[in-house]
Amino acid sequence: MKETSDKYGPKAFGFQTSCRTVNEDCYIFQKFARVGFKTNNVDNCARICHGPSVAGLSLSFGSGAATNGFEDALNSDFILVWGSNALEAHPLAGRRLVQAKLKGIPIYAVDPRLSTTAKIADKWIQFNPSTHIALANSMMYWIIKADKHDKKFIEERVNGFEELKATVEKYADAEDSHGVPLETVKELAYKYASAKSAVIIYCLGVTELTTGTDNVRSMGNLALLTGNVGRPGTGVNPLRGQNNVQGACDMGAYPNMYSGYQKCEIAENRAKMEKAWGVTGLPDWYGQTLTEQINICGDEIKTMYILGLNPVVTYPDSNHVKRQLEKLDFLVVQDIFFTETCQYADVILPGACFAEKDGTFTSGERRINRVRKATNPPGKAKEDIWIISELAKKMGLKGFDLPTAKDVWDDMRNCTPSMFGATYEKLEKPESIVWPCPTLEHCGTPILHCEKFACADGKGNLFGIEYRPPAEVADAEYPFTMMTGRLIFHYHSRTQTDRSAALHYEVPASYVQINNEDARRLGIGQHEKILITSRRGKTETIAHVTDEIGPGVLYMTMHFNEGVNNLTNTVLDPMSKMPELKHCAVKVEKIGGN
Amino acid sequence: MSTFIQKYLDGAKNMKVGVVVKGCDLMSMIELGKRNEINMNNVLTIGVNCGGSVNPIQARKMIKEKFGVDPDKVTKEEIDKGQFIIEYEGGHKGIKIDELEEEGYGRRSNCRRCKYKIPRQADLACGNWGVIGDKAGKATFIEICSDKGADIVSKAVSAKKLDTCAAEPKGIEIRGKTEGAMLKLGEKWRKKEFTALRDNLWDFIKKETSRYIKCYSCIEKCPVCISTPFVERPESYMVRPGYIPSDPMFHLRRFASISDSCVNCGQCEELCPVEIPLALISHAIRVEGDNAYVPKLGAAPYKN
Repeated sequence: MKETSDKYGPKAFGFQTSCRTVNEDCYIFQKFARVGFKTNNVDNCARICHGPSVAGLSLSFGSGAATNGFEDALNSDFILVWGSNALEAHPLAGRRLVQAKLKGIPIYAVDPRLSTTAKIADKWIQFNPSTHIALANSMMYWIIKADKHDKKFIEERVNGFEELKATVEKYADAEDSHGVPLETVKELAYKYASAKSAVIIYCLGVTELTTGTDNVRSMGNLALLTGNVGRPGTGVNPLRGQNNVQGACDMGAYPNMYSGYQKCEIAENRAKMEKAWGVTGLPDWYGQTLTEQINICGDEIKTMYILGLNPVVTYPDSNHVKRQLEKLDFLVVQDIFFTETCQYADVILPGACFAEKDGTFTSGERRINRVRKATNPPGKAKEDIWIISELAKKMGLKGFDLPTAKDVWDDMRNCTPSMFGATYEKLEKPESIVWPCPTLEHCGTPILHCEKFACADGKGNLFGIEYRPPAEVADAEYPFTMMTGRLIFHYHSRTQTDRSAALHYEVPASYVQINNEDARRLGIGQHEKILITSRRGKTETIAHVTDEIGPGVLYMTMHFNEGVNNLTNTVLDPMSKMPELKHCAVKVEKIGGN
Repeated sequence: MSTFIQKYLDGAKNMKVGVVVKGCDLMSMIELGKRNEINMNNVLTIGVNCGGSVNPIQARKMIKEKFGVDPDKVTKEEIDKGQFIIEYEGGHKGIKIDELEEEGYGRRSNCRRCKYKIPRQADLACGNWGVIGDKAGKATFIEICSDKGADIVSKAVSAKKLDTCAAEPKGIEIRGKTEGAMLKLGEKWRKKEFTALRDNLWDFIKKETSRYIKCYSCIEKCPVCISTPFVERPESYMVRPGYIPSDPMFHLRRFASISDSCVNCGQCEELCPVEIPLALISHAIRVEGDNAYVPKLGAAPYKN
């Protein structure tokens, strides 16, 4: 790594960390990248799940995080679940939905697919994949038309109403785009707007598209238009993809921000961090994001350090990822298991799992939860902060004498105003601490934006946003739309879950959901093995013939090697650099052609 | 507790374990002992009387909302004389359990139905019920229930680690009365909840299990439900792997498997992310089964 540094400089590095590992690992990892190699090419996998939430909610509300806690859904009068299959992908957040349902709170689920979550909802609103903006704009047209918007809230606390109003004028009837009958759009719009307190809970169905940031801003628009922010039972809540997506971002494993979302481009911030870390020359430039780093392997990037990620399976266009990793001069992979990506590594560092180290995870409701070491890492494996500290010390870096997780956490607190008050002692309570928590006396902030928004002028922002189709839509050659998602039985690339006999038994291999009409037309039987091809690659998988998905649409989960990510598209959302994982065009063929 | 010994201490097969148990912990261990999953010869059980447990998150909420006390200031809590009592810096306060439970606070629902309050199948049955006068809060009642129990007490006394004296008759009487009152309360809840299931049992099971997402918590944590190996398991014609909500037989076969052994520990229900009242269903099956049929694995030494 020293050689790369001397020969090519800071931009020759790529650092990527998992959102499954503790805050302390994420913090020390980005500190190592920035202090040791003066690079901002450091990112985490929130980029490919909730990067658009950070970008979109920052623009709408001034803070890129969920506004209210999970349990707060029980204080709602109406719950709008949008592009989230919480029961499978986030079962504990899903538990709050079930509790809400048992309490009699109406739940409407907006999803192109009759997901497990849509099945427990009071109403399933089926819409065409990736048409969120068209549907949200239609809803807002009818809310304004029926005079159900919150005029007092808008006047006092919100910018941009006229711009929004002008834009949604064009969406009175957008059924051609989103596919939802007008009466249903009106019903949904009126229910959401009329509820005393309504919450939007959304997930990757909204974010993993080239319009991801704008989709998130559309969720913000709905909430601001109806005054559903800053009170119990309201808000806009992304269910963060992994257990520490919030934390990995909070810790500054981000190409343009230090911990607590302090931007690197601001000279004052750099000077502060240089002082705190005892270095000079921290970079001001915007680093390369997760999949951008992959795209320039071998060109600008010569050395990559991957902590707890398995890009060969989880990033879009697996064939491309493999070709790119092969171009690197040097690849370090730090993980708890030998993953598919380890096959491309020059050095593999065996790290520790959550039960083998102390630390903290920050959940999607901004709650900082302690985890405690129960056992030593097996064999030659080491705690991850130990590995990184030792590397730093070998390179002669100062500021890495941080032997315990608490030392790392305190190092972070000292340069992070929004978390300064969240000491390990205060995390001992079962409720723990929800950041922002700026002072030692502060008890944390479960609900954001109560009196003012976190934007510079204290106001929330409505935006007039036009609907745009995805980058690659179905055509004559590739007539199907492929969507992706997750299963309850597996976690991401199955590095952990496929080692469980019960989970392997439930779902040992990939499958695709295909509409019965489509299957009948193509002569595909239940559980028949079929070939799916996109412009980038192909995969063989098992057909699950069902009416739970609309005609022309397919659904596969992202967990399997040589699976759906052989097909997916690397094209990015310009605002958040999110690849379009949820939408690409494919064709379906019987195997053997009979 | 029982599954911890079974899974992480190798069923106490190669070590001696001393363990403090509530009734449900002990019943679970007895059931695992019957299945050779725990070697009970190596386990010394110290039972404590138990009026029921409160989920810690619910307890903090209840203390804050119903008692109006900061939960961090609470130094002690107990259930006594039909009240949930807390002690805190500067005072103590009690509220009737009935009142709390009517409002959705209070004990876990399986605990409300429990009728195994003093675990006398342990080696020792201890606890504060019946400890009166100047000993209240300072001593424990000990009922010696086995030779192993007698041995440990006499050794502890001769090692001067324990002072003992005969129980006062008044104390014995109060211990009996407290137990009796708790059993009566358990019966009341049982009648209420089981009767409510009587007329629409199938609909109830169908409706509640329709949310099932196969997270496996109810199987993993159940002390009496032991899975066959998943590797090379024969094909099931009624339960398709990978499908959720699961096919109905997924539940029926689990209820059947634990029908004569469910100890109503409530772990399945406590952990269920989709709030299925699993313990209520399997407890009802066990109670009705015990009532009507001779048990397959022999009569249990405990009564619940």
